[in-house]
Amino acid sequence: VNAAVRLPKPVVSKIASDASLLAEVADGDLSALGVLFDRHQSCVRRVLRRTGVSNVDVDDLIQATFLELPRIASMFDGRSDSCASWLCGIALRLAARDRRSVGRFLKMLVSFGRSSPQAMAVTPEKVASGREEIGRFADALLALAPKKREAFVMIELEGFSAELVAHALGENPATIRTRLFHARSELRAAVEHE
Amino acid sequence: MTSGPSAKPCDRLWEIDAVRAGRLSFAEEASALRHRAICTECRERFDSDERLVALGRELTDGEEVDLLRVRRLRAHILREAATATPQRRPWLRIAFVAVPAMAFAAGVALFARHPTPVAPAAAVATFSPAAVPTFAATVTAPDITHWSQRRNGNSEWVDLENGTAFLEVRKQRTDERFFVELPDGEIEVRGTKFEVTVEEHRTIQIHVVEGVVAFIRPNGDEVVLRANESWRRKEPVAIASAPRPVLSPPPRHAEENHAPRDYEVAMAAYRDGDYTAAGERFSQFLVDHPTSREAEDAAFMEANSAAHAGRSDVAAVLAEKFLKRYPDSFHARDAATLVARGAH
Repeated sequence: VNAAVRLPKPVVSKIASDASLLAEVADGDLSALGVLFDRHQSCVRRVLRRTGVSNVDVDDLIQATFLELPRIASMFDGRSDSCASWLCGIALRLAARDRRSVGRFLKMLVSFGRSSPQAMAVTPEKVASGREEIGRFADALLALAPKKREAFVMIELEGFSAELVAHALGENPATIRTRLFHARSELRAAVEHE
Repeated sequence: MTSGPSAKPCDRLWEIDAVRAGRLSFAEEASALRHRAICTECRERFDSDERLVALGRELTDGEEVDLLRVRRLRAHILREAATATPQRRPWLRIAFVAVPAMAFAAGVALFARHPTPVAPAAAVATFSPAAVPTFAATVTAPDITHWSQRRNGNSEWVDLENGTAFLEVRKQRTDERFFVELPDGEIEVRGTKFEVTVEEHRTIQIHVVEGVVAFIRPNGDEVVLRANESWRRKEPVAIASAPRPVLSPPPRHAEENHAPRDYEVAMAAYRDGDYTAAGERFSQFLVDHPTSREAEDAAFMEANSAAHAGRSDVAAVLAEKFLKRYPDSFHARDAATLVARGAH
């Protein structure tokens, strides 16, 4: 019934900025939410996967992230033209909350009994093709503390600046750079010395 | 430049990260790239970091995303958002909080205007918003510094008995006055950032970061210091014979001639592990060459030397001062670490 009441607007400009789309989302425009989803879901998905969230949980976190938008869209400050880093920050915070929850812990214990988790896409083909290095890297990345992993993924793999990542995660830029430095050191040691 | 496994690591390794983050100027980046071309260690580190990025991207690059699942997820999100319980409007939530808060504030204001009659001395001790003085200056000083701060009406004083203090004074209104009481004089400011050092009941050094400071001696002599100017006690008669009203900066050519040499002398002490002497030389360097190209590095190295000398509280103060003056410096991360260490 409500869906009928909130009919999306028929046309949303393809070149509308993220900030204007978020303003429309804040006003209850669901078509703008759809456009934002199309624009950024792949980035959010990639960041979640790279930070070690299992494929099963990624969709849940993406859903939770975009469902948060109508409530928090007005908080976007337009620091960057794109809200991708901001959305990734929300998704990572939700993932962290998920990690901490007791239910998640119990779920993880149950999953140990069924199969070994394989968060990263280290396919047998990659390993078989003489790429043991990538296996070592994947293990090292998963062994990193979550906050260091987030810094490495967001800055090095996604190309966001330390300032944007710090803003998205509610941290100091210097803290993010420190985490990145340690993440790199640990990954380097794991890949080179094993 | 080319170092073996047992040699000391190249001291320009940090530039790899700085270049990648775009934190270097054009000239500095060109210098870093030239260095990398001839330094095996830096080149290997750069290649290694690039390899990590390539491996990281390769991890998920081959993953196939089920487009149908994405479309379903999209539809599900839009349906959920459409059927979700409408959120309360922000202004409504704000009103819920703001109305009681305003009522409380009005009550406090009424109480402040018509307080319960008490003796004047007791009124000062009473805790109420009206009784809490709001200082115009923020004083940053290590634990070993002896200082105090007081305010009476529109006048405020900071008494500095011994040690170093960094003061940040907000711009004064026309009816306000701010003084720093020193054992051998007085400083009056109108809104500025500056540092004062007092030792053995004598003012040793004043360095102004922003604004204008007037250092007034008991005999009436006055030294006016502007931004980036410093005064340091060298001779007992230096102040008395100083021309009024401005302490002239050293000749430009002299600074250009001696700054690199003085910096290298301080660095030599640092490399020799004499961190106390290094800190003193970097401090002196900043006084003698406040606008030189090496000033930024010297300011950081002064804090770093204090940290190595085991004076983490002093290091924290110096690092905080450094961050305020050079917020975009390459050393900002390390300076922030020194500040954080000092807090513990």
